[in-house]
Amino acid sequence: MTTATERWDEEALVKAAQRGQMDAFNELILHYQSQVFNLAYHILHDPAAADDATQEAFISAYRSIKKFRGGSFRSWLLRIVTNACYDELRRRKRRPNVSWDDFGDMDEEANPHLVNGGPKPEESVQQQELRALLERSIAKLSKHHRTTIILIDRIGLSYEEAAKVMDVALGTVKSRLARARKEMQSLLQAERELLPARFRL
Amino acid sequence: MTRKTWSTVDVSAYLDGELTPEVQVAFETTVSQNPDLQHRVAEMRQVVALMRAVPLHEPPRNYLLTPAMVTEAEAESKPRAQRRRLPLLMMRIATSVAAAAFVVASGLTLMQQGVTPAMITQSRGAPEAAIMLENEAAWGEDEIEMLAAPVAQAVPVEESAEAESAAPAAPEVEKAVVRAVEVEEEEVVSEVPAEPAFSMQDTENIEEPSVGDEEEVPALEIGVGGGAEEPAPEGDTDSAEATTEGSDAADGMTAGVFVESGTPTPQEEAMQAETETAPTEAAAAEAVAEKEESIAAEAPVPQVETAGEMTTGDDSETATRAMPEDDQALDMAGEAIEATDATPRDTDAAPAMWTSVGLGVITAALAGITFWMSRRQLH
Repeated sequence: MTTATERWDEEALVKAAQRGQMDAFNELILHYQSQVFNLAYHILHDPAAADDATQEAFISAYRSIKKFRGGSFRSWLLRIVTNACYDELRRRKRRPNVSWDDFGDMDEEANPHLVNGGPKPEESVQQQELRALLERSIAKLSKHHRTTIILIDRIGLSYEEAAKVMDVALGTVKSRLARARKEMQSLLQAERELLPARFRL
Repeated sequence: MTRKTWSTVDVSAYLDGELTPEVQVAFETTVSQNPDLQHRVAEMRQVVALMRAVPLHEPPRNYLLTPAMVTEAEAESKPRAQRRRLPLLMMRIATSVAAAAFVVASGLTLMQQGVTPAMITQSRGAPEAAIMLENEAAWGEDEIEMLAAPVAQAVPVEESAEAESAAPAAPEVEKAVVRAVEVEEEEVVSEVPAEPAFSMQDTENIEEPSVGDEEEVPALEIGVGGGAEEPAPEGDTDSAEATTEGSDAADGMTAGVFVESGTPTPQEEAMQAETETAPTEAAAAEAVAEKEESIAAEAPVPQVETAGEMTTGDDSETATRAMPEDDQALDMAGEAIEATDATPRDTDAAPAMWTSVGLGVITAALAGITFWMSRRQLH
């Protein structure tokens, strides 16, 4: 949750970025890059594509920051990355086969695209299993349900912010979220033996 | 506020505190009394907790921008944007060209249709004159046959006068004929611009009432010796059509004089061949011709004044006079047929109209695709 001071800072950073100060914009990037990347990651269900989409979204946001007319900068930024991800999904639909060459260097150290795919060493096995289960289930949702539940339940946007990101009405957000949660419930119940005891439905 | 049922949306919104205070109070009241609703709320709460239990992924790297990255992205995006705009530009050009073609085609079609009525009115006499002369050429054969038995015949010049020309021969019949066909004949007479097949003398004859006929039947007779037309019994006018054909046959005999005297031209032969393909008409004409032959044999030969001069029933003289006019008539018939063939306005208008319609459909389709592409590019 952002405080009033942070919002003010955000406004100042946005205005500075609009004046062409790239450093100010980079501060905004550092603040939001985790949310932007995670949204892209869950929508695309592909770390490499999410990385590209995130970078592309930030460049696009910087180039069009002068068009930003105020309001929630986070919503505006997440909308840009959401649209970039939807474009990528459309491109995938047209060209479903991806060559291995597209992944570039397969060395994990050299290629950041491969870093986030696997389990994290610092996470417990139980948490790793839970993350994998969640990501599998989220990936089975429809595009819009996936985006809605990620924005609200993972990233923590309000209904209004989510409505702005997806450019839909508030009622649409409510219904999409409810259906997404219901679907997630069914999906998780199907694999309830993998859930930790405290999360068993 | 009491509600019997609560939807999943209500449950979900309740968990996020998104219900209005009134609805929330009502919901909580129901939950406290309804174990099923309690279970539903608990299940969904568990899902939300699971979703929030796992922390977000750490981004694989920082996405900090540099001026070089932005410049490079701009350099890359320009040709990409141009490439993206190129199909749209091509579609816009294609749509414009199609629209222009459609406008031109429509204009031409409208122009054509606009001219057509005038052209039809102007050339209306031509085909009819052609048909007339065609019949005359065909009647030539009948006339030849008739000439074998010398009979005085009236010499009608054109179809308008054909019915009238038989008046001296059979005044009563001819009166009926004239009455029957007068309406349609008047139109033809009025629209035929000239009297191509015949001399001015004959034209004058058309307008001049014949001697001995006080009716307004304008007889065009060149007196033919050897026979006189006796008034036919009134009951002989079986039908207007038959009688008309009878008079046509009489006309044909006159035309036959021309044919006999001159060498038949190819046009004449063609027209005769066409006429022969209509046996009904030919047979009827023949029947009436025979009838008139018998009448002529019984009747005295009246002298008929033609164009201010009295002519005797001299076949050879008539033929001699008529010969050059016959050539003219055939020439004019050929020209009329050519004119008819050269101006098939109605048949020309159809492909032009369909071309316009086709272009319109293509233009609409292109416009739709262009609009869709524009919308797609905007988004």
